[in-house]
Amino acid sequence: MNRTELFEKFLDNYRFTRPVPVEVRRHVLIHKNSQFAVILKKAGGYSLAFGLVTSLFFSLKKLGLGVTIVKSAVILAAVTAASVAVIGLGAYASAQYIIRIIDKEKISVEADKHPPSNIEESFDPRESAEVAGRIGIQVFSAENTEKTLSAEVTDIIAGELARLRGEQYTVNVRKTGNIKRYRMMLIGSVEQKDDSFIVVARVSDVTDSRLLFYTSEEIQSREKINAASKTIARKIAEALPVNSR
Amino acid sequence: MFWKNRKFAEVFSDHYSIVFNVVYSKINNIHEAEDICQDLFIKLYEKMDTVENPRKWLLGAIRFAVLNYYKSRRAEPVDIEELFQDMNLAFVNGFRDARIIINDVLENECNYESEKDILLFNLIAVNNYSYEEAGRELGMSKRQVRYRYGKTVNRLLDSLSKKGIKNIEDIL
Repeated sequence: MNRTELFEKFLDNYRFTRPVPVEVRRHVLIHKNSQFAVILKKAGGYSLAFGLVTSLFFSLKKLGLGVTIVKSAVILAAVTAASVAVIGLGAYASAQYIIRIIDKEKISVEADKHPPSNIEESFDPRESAEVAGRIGIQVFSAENTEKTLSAEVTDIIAGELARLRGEQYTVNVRKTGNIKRYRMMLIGSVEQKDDSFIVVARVSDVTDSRLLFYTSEEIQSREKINAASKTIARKIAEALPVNSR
Repeated sequence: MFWKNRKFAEVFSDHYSIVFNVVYSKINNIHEAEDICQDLFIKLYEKMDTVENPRKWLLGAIRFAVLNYYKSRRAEPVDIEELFQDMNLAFVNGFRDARIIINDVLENECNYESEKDILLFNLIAVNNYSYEEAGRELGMSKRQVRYRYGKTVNRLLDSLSKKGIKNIEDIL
């Protein structure tokens, strides 16, 4: 028996002890917080905020942590602020996610309401034979000459290609825009040098930018531009027949 | 208001169990003891600004609260001294003097390092709380309780020794 136990026995012998039954001790500990709230309400000093602080205070004490009311209030404020921040961020992230889903659904509904006028437009160029054989003609650039001349050359070549290869395999982007998909793209330039002109034409594969055809014509006078442009178109039509790809 | 509530909450947290245990030991009914404790602490809350030592004030107020409790239930007059008569008054086996000395030592606040040590001692030595239970009541770990309680016991034993009770084993 150690000193403490001996002392307790000594006190007991001299009837200084008033043992409290275990169930009463438990009852007191469990109901301490609620009793405090009842007393404070009856005394007129209760508020919800203070009730929350004291709940934390009594809970921490039960865990054997000797905190003060002020420390409990600070802990509660910090925990509340952190919770609000986490909930706020969560709500914001959820709202963003829902907005994205709604937007996707809107786009999907719009697409269903307005299907493309030409269903072929949505096809992958590599998967459509018509698209694979089509040439899109971009407006030729003008160097040291009028833009009207380069536009005229573009239209002559486009018209001749349409005649030789078929309308459905030719898109004059200058006139119609990109209304149809195409796998080949014709770009070129018209350059003036004194009285002569040089017309350059290049056809590339739009999927990999590979050069498929190249030609240039030197034209001695403006009157010969029409014939030279048709010659270029013929060369292209011969080099890249519709079913070549 | 916050500062009054803060002080009251801390006093309540430390003293409620001690007060409840004293009241319960006099009336032996949990629910009646709770009602009496509620009244006592409401009065303490109202007098919070003027009470210097809440423990002493509460222990004094318990006597009247218990007396009023019995007065309201008994037809015949109640003797408060009889009600709170300590066992030492009836203890006639030759050790009465020793008990008076022990009582003086236990009641002397100088034998405790702090107010909390008085409460701790009462819970463990008087009310038979375990270290863990006492720690939960006062917001201390079991280790802290053991250390502080051990220190208090040593101080009390030293004090008893100075008063002539040198070896408690001899008088057990």
